[in-house]
Amino acid sequence: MSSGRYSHFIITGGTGYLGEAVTGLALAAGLRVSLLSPHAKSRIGVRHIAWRLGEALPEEALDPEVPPAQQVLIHLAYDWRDTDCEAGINLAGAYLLRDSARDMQIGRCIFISSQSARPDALNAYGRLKSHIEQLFDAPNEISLRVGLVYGGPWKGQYGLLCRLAMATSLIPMVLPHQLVQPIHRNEVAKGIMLAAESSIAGTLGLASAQPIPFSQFLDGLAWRLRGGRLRLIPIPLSLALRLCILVNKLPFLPRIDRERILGLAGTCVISTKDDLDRLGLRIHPFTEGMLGEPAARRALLQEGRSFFRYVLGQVPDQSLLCHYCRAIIINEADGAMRLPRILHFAPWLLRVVEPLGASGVLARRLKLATALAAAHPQTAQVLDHGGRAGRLARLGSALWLEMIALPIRLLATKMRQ
Amino acid sequence: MRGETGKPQVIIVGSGPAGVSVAWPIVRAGLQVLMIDASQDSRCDLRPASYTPKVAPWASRFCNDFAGLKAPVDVSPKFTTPLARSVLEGFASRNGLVSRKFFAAGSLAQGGLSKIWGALAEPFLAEEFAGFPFGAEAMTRSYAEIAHRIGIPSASMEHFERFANPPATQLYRRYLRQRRAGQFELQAAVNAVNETAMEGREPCSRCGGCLYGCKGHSIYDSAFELPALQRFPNFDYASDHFVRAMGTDGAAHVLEVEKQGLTKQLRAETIVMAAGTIATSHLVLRHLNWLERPVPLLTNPAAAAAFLVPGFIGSTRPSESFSLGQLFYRFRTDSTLAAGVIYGADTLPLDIFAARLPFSRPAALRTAHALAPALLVSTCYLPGHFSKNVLYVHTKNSEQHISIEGCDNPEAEIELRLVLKGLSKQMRQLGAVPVPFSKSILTAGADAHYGGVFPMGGEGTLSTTEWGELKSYPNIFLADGSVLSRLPATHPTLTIMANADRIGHEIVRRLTKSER
Repeated sequence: MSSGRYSHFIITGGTGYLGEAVTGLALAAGLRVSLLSPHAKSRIGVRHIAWRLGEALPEEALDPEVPPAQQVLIHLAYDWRDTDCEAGINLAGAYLLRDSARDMQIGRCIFISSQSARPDALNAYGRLKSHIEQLFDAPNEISLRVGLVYGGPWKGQYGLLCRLAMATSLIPMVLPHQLVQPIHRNEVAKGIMLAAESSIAGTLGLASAQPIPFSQFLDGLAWRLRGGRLRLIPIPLSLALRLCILVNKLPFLPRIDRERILGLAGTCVISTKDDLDRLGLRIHPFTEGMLGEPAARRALLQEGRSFFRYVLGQVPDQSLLCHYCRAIIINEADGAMRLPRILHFAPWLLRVVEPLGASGVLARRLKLATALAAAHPQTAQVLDHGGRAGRLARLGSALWLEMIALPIRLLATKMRQ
Repeated sequence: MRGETGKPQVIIVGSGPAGVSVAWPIVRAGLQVLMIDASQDSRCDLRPASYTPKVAPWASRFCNDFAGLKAPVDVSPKFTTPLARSVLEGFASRNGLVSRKFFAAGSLAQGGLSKIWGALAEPFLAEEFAGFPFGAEAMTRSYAEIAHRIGIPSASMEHFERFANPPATQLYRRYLRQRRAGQFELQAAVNAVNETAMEGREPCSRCGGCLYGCKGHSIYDSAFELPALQRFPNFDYASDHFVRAMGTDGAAHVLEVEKQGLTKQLRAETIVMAAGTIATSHLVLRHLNWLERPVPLLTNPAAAAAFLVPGFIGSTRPSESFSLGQLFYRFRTDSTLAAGVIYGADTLPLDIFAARLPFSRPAALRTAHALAPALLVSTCYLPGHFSKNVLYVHTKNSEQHISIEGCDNPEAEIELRLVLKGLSKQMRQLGAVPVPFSKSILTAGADAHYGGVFPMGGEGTLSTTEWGELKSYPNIFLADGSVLSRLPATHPTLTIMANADRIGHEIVRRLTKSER
């Protein structure tokens, strides 16, 4: 069981992208969790209560075995269809929820806001979040302004950006140099847990203290997800909004929300260093945080497959690939390299771009792949095949190809320097 | 003849080849012996090979954490294995060892560096005892004693052909046909690898895994002798005893020992230091208060070269083989006598060769695979007087550390190149072609043959008597490489063991005489 002050979390929007992470972390900490949502989603150890945004906090949401003062309400739910900043369902729902929580004397209320929350935000989402923040102003209430969240399942804005990064190497983008403050989904969940345990009131920033350009964020996604690059073409906001309408009408393409474009365009950097220090939360740099993502592992597997196909001349055994990934993760604490996609389809092209000498990441990784391959039984099968004559013939052809490729390799090495 | 108070009459520090060799005569004489080392393994048993857990080839090559992938290219493959890592682990940090331009190897493990030694058991020639306070004849009995005890096989042609790989066999046969007296002498390497079953040790199965820890315990490791020693009631062994300092208290000598973080004192009238040259030098120099003053540390300047026997290029790599030394040679120049070992490369990991080839990786792997069955790798060692290393104990933050600095000696490099040139010529005559650009001079200390810090029979404060006894502290004997008066090019381990046996007999003579 948790040794903290609170033992029951009531979460609105707990089945969403962030809600799932918070629920998982709370359960892992030994807390009781009740999810308020319209759709029941079975999860072991979680109580589900039917509730819609716009309704007050139901009595049954409270855990009868726990005093209200030891219960926490986390308000994550948001309706994207509502853009009414005066009397919309988001604002009205927040009112009702806050008042009922206060009436029930719930110990702690946490509202999950956004980095874009400003009264003059370009999008309704930012303005609404700003309005709702004002509501949670009691000493036991806190609003967390969350930055650009990444990691976990491809849902929400992160899912959209991942799909874009995977689909193409060239994206027209409004304000690519706009600064964003990424934070991993698990770090957000941890931040919420820490905020619940703290006595801090008011508004707190939950985002990386080191902003990075949005172009760098997207490029980093492309790097980690598929080991490639992503180039952005800057376009004006008006054109981006028109393109958004057009793209959303075309089939098979990811749906882009106008609100999200406006949200990005209107994002302002918030100072979070002191807030994070107060919470005691450490946020990893974006490229480091992405390393643990399944997609980043897949990219590493793809890189290993290409390297082994190059070195061995055939598709590698699964165990060999696993060794490669583990060796890179343990020894280099890094993910897949950025390689041109063509090298994954035609790894033999590496013969002309493999650098001479042992310095550089590519040379080091190819050397590592060779060392692992040399200790694997598959290599013995490949190299022993065909008897002595076959081995000598293969050696001759390998050296002949080497001679042909040498001038291009020299040139490639020179250019890389 | 036990100690009157039940306390040990002799404490031996270190369970390596020197410690075990010095122990045998003393234990057999019935004197009370306590052997201590800093290993964490308190068990002294020999598990049968079938009990040894099976390890996947990649894991024995790289270790589960893939640390073997980070091994430097210019160090012998035997120092890059997971086994070597476990043997060398903790030695530098616990001794406060800092080395510069020097490869310093030492071990806290049970059996010390003998766990990863090359197993070459070649006695010094009579001429290599020049500078020692005794001649080769003083060692004859001890050499024979050691050879019998650890199971060194006879150097017969039949034995050689059973263990040698095809290119080495062809080379040696040609040598025997063409042999003529001259500057080059080649012989079958004599290794401390038993060919008949001994206590807890199986005959060599030629599995090829020599570098990664012999599964059948066929390669001698001094820890294998501890069970036999422990059967003597007058022998005690204690692990996890790290000696922090030495002292003298009246008639007894005192060892300040750290055990599980606590410090305790051990006393005995006779102390034998056999912790390995570096650790012994550290303790003794501090005991002699020889601080901040450099002392020469002898090593064998070393080089390596590769040769191809063309007839075997593209042959099938054998499924079983013997990975230790196949041939041993001596090469005489105008000024010195060099020595070296020739190894077969057919079962060594291909990536070791591929990493040295300036090709793309697929070509390098295929080339290495085709050349490996035809490849012979030779080491070359010069006598220790060519080395210019210094060792000194210094104080930093009120703690004493040991530093070793290697120094390039152009004279040694010239001599090594001269020997390699002569060796190449001889090998060409025997049908082996030198591999272009394969000659390399190794880092100082890469040979792991360290010695000569407290030379027997020498002059000066640091020299010891002909029995390795400290002149200023009688009954403190040094039995490891640190007391070798000279370090000839021949591998010194067997001689260190024989010298320890000789010192052990002298300790018995003195203690039994005093008791009478």
